Amino acid sequence: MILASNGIIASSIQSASALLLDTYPSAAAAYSVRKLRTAYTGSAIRVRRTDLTEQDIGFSGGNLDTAALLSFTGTGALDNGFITTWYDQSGNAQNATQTTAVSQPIIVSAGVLLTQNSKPTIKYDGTNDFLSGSAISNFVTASTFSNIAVFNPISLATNTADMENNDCVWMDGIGYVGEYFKSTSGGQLVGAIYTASQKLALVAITANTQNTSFITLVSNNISISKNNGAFVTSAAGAIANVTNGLTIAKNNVYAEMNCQELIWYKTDQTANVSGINGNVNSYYGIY
Amino acid sequence: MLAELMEMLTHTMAYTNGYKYDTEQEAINAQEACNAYYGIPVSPDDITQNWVAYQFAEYDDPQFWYIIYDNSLLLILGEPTEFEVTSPPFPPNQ
Repeated sequence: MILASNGIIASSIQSASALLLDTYPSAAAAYSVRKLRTAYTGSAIRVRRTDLTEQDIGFSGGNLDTAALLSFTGTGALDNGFITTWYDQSGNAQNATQTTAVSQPIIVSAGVLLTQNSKPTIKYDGTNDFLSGSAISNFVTASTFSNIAVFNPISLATNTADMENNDCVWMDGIGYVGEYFKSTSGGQLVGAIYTASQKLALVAITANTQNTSFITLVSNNISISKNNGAFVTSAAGAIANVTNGLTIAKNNVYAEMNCQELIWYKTDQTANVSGINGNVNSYYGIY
Repeated sequence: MLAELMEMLTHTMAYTNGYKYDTEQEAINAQEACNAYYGIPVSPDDITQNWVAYQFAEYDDPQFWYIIYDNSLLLILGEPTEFEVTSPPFPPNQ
């Protein structure tokens, strides 16, 4: 037991140990390799193993049930586990799926659980792996949203100035809203929206490094921060189109990355940035 | 002339390694050959319904269908080739 001499420290310790969506509820969609909400009783992921059979994998305590996962996939050199479904823990049933075998990202490779900083991670190969979701209007509004991502851009490719032709963490599949990374200027992470032109908020990023990012679109201004750093804000604009479907790791190109958590709110969570980042960092130990 | 210039500005070309087909039926046949080889779907209730997906190169002239290369396709579809695919214009329909 830690005896705090003031309420701030005690409060910080308590919030760090709570499930994120218990403390900061009403997410529009929430995917993770950890449990995010006490009331959520579903699975974390659905996995296809090498012999093509599939099984849901849930939680053990607040963590992914890795024992059940490896028991299902096997631990031999030919045993792999691929993600067919990343279940939405928000309660809104916005599951992200992949129905094509060769495009399913991997979580168990050659019988070994893939990890990032000792926590399970889902790896996208940069060739053809991605997950799809429903219309982005289920995740954001045209003028307001907040997004939290925990990911590692394994490689940074230089693509084009057009957001839809860059390696994305997530996007709307067309290029009206999303988060992407590229090697320009030594590495950039970009929160982006398209109105009549692109509105970009950029922070520096390094290849093959775990990050947590926080993007907000508030009063038509998109902002981004990395690892609880200062926000960088773009020129003003609203999202011109929110009808296209969510994609994770794919737009016109495919991103090579590890991804452990993606959460969207249709509301402004700026007031909760410190608490949300603290909860994320307490679990993943990023910065 | 202006229209052609605008089209060049709003489309980008990218090299793709894979399998190129003149008709959709050829692409479907290739997809079904992969499904048969790997035994997919195992169950109609499974999420996984195909081994590989094919895509439509809608913005190329002539249009074609293609499958992106994966190591698992080599035994069924043979050696891949490299070809260019034009990305959709952005914003769409302008």
